[in-house]
Amino acid sequence: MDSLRDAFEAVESRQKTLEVYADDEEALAELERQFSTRNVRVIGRPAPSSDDPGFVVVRAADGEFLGALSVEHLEAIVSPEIHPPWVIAETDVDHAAVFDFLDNTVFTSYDRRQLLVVAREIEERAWRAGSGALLVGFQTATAFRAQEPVYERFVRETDVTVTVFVDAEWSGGSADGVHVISAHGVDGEIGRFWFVLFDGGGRDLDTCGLLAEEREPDRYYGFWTDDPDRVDEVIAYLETTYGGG
Amino acid sequence: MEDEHPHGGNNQVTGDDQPSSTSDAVSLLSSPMARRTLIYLTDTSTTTVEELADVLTGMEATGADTLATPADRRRVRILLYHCVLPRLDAAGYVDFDAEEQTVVRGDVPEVVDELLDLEW
Repeated sequence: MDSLRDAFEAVESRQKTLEVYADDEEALAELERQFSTRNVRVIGRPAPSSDDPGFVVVRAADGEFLGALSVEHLEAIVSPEIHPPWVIAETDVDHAAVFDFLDNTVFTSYDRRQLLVVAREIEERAWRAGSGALLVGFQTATAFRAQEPVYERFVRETDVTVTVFVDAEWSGGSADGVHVISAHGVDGEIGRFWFVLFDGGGRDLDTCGLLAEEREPDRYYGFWTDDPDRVDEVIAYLETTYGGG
Repeated sequence: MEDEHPHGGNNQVTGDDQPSSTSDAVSLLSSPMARRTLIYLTDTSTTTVEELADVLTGMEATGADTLATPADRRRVRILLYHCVLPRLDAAGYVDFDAEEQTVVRGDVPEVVDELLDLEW
């Protein structure tokens, strides 16, 4: 890896397919609209029977069956609410479902609100794990300032170490334990990228990460993953290049 | 091509190789997978084992409101291939070709269609 953007290449080649078994043209059009910003192909199929509300089969690029769920269930998990990590940990909000469902899939045009859901899921896993390293990239000092209390609480209440990368001068006015690295980065990448990476604290099952590049104002391109090798690669790149971690 | 029924004949429905009564049909249809197979074949008269496995896994996920995994689909496929389809074939409701892995709607008696309309 020579830049954060290099991490996109391996994920871009994997296009998932959603086969929608439903006679509801509106539902199909809605799913096509929702997934038009992702590297996902949506195909309509006839409903299995006239009184079946419809379901979706998800396939990998090679056609392998990845999962199936009702159209209603899919709609619920692609438009979740946003909650901070300590609230998610205490509720039934199934953010893990949306995370697992669309991991390793490139999104081409997500806005901040949508990415915040994923960032919260990663932070929630780190919160539950209780130890490990969390690396977070902020495009601006303002963005970091807004989230600072979240990371201060991590340091105060868990053994998770927090390293923040920000494309701005930072006077170090943050809580003890939150390690802040000021960097402009390769081609100014720290200012363009939003990332949240959790190394799992040595547990592969907890490892996860989000990497997104703002290519137009509030339009992000990127992916999230729970593939430990992919997360480790990005963390290693950041540590080598910016000395964080 | 002629049908290759072991006893030859003109394949008239005599009732001899069909469930002899409604209770046999009810027993067969007590399996949700058997019902879903016949329901799917009502509109799609010819299919494959792989397609049926996709559809039945999806219908099961819808009914249970869960996210079906590849392991769920494997279970559905094994049950279909080794249990559900041979039984439906024996009843004459479907024509199951285990080698080609194809399934064609067979002679479904009216009573079975009526049973499929019921809430189970």
